[in-house]
Amino acid sequence: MALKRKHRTKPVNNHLLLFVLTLFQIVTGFMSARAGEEFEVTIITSMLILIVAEWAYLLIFYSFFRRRNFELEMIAFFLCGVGLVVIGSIDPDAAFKQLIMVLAGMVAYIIMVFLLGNVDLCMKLRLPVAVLALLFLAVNIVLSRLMGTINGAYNWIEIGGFRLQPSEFVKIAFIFVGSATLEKIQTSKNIFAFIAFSLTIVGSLVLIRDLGTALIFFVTFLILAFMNSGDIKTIIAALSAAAMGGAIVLKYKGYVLNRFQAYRHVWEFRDTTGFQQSRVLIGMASGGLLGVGVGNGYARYVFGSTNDTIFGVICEEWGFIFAIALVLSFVFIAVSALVNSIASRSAFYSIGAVAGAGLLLFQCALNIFGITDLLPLTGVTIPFVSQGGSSMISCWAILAFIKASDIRTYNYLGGKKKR
Amino acid sequence: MKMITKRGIFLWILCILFVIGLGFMTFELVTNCNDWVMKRNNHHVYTNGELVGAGTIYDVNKEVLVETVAGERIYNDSETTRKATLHIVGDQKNFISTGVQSVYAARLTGYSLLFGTYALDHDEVGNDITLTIDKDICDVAYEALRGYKGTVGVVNYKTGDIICSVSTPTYDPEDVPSDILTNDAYEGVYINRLLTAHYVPGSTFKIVTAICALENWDDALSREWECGGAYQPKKGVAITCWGHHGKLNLMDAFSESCNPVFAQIAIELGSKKLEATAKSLGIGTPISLNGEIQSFGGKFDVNNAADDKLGWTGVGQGDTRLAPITMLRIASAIANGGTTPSFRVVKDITSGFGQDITIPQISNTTALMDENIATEIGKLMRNNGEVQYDDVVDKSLNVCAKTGTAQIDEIDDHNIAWFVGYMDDDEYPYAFVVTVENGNSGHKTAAPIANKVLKAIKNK
Repeated sequence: MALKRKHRTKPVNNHLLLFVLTLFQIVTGFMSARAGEEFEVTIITSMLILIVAEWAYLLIFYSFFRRRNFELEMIAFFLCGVGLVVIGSIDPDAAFKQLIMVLAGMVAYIIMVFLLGNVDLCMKLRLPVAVLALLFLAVNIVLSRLMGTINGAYNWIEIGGFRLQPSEFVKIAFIFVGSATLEKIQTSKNIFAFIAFSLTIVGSLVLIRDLGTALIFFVTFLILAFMNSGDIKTIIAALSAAAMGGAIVLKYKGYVLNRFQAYRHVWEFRDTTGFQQSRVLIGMASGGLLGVGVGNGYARYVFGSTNDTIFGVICEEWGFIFAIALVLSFVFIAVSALVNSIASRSAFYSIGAVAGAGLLLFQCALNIFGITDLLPLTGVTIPFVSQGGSSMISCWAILAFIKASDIRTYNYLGGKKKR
Repeated sequence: MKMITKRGIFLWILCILFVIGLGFMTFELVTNCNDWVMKRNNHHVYTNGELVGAGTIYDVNKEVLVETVAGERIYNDSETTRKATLHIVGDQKNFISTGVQSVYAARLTGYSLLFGTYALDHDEVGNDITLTIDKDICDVAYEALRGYKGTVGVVNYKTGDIICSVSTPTYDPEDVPSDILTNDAYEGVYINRLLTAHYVPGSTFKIVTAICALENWDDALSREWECGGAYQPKKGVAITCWGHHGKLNLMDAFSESCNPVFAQIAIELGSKKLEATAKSLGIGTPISLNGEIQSFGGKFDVNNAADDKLGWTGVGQGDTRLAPITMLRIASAIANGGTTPSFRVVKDITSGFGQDITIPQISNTTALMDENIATEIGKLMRNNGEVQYDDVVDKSLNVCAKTGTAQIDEIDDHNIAWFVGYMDDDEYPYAFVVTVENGNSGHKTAAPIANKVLKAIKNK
């Protein structure tokens, strides 16, 4: 055994990896800039700024903080870069905005990683964060009732010209509160408080008609609850409660049924509720395994092509093989979180990492399987790839939980080597 | 910490489900891509509802039937050819669902799962398809139909190549009539009657009844029956005859097309045996051309039928409904010693740059009856050709055949006229079927059409 240990695979050369990624991003950036009738300088500029930010991040944290683990960031850079060029090729003006959001996400990530390093502070912040999250949702409900809906859901609030999606920030709070609460000696008080917290959130999301996000929270809750109790009975109880709740929602919410009627019947509803799905399937077939090339597809003209249906654009223009590789990134993130959780310093990190990775993976699944008609369409985005500022920031912040669970991340703090 | 590891199982399961989901997505794509890519909403393939870059469809002699010129589908120069071959070639909008242009749409456009519609987007050249159809023979058949609704089908019974398939009413795809949906003259214009019409078989079904008798009775050829102008089964209505034939053996009854005799035969055989023969002859099973274009399988049900119904079924006047190609296949098998090769209309597919594209060719032969049965029934049909049809069919054609006149109502002019058979000629191994709606009688209307088409084949 000892002999085997010596022959461990060499750690990935971070600089080489980022160099390869840089080449990929420059090439795809140019492809995207050339996709339209004119050469779009905004896209290539945005891409170059992103590349600079990536190198700055790597060099600073490699040299000054002596971190050696950058796999997660590389994946996020890759996903964000693809999102940037796809969105840019559809709407060049959106590229720059998306870049700003990626940078904001990176800042949020850096802050979160530092914050999570201080476990005592995290424990103290637990209650304020929970209260803040609930307040945020309450404001959302009240404001949206006053202002009406956007695209059939009430999940936006507008502050000073910026549209915010409170539920995205609540995701961070949810994992934070969940892992911090459940890490504590498992008193029943803690568990019940957290269940009440979860129920309030999911209930609020159902109220604001964001069914997809409600589902994401529910699955994350299941992971959190099981990570904490290890009790399958809890899970069964939670599942049956959800089934009943779901039945009630379906019964009284005609709009949900209306949305689901196209499920597995998209060709019958191809011009109504099956519009997006049918166009994505056509795009997938037209793109084949290798794709028709950036800018040559038609899925890009479908409503929501920069967020909900971006997977269809990628399949059609970049090819099915690339699209599959892209979404497998989320499996890689999940496996990293699971491997990390074995060796991480405390249950707080393990729970946070597994729940966060589960959330990202499940959200990706809802999107890609919904849009290809393998699951009902719920209208959620692909983490890191789809357009949207709130979502981008929240994805990066959630990634911080996985990063924090990696023993190598905080090596510089204690300096202790794992025995 | 071990506990925590174990508890991550939910995420492990989620990962596995995710990968399974991707596998399923891939499976769906691989199995449905040809279908999805040809959906009318696909702008890679259609502009204003018309195919953009499909390849050329040729007839067997490499005459262009339809091609793409400057982004438009252009059909053959001759209006007659356009009308005669429309149902096998297909229309621009793929309303004719059994047309090659519709069934082979994805391959015509040069679509492939690997490259998607890339070739179409960049070069606008698709794949070319060569049919087994001979446009000159189709022209003759179309002219011979003289405006009747109906169909003519001719197949090489040794190879299974369909050389003629004409269905009327038809229209000129280059000049689509404005009243196509409202005018009765265009009723059912989008169906290929050879493949998908539901016709009462009339007396051509006596071939099936006779085969059943030959299969089940050793003395079928020597037995005699009595025709007194009508036959009254124990229960139900009488089966009437067009003549008063007296004593008849099977060969005479077959050539006189005597209803009472065949009703007696059917009733004596019983529903089980009749059903077994019908099934083995392919009645009830769709026929597929190249394994891709499906016909109507036929409707045949004598389960628990009363005697009179069984009798009427035996003479081809029951509830039985057949597509003409089913009778064509039976004739083809009789001609070919009991077995028939699979039928095809597509000879080959080549890429726009001339490379062969192998198509999965299902070219097996199917035995419909024993060889000696085929020989016996062939003799009966040859006898018909010699004694019954010599006035309407050229003697040199060596035709072995059976007429049919399916009654729809009391008016003779509404009858469906049938003529089905083959040429007993090694040089011209062709089986044929002619079906004419409102055709009065098979002898009067259908047989002369077959005569013209077969002569054209021999004189070519």
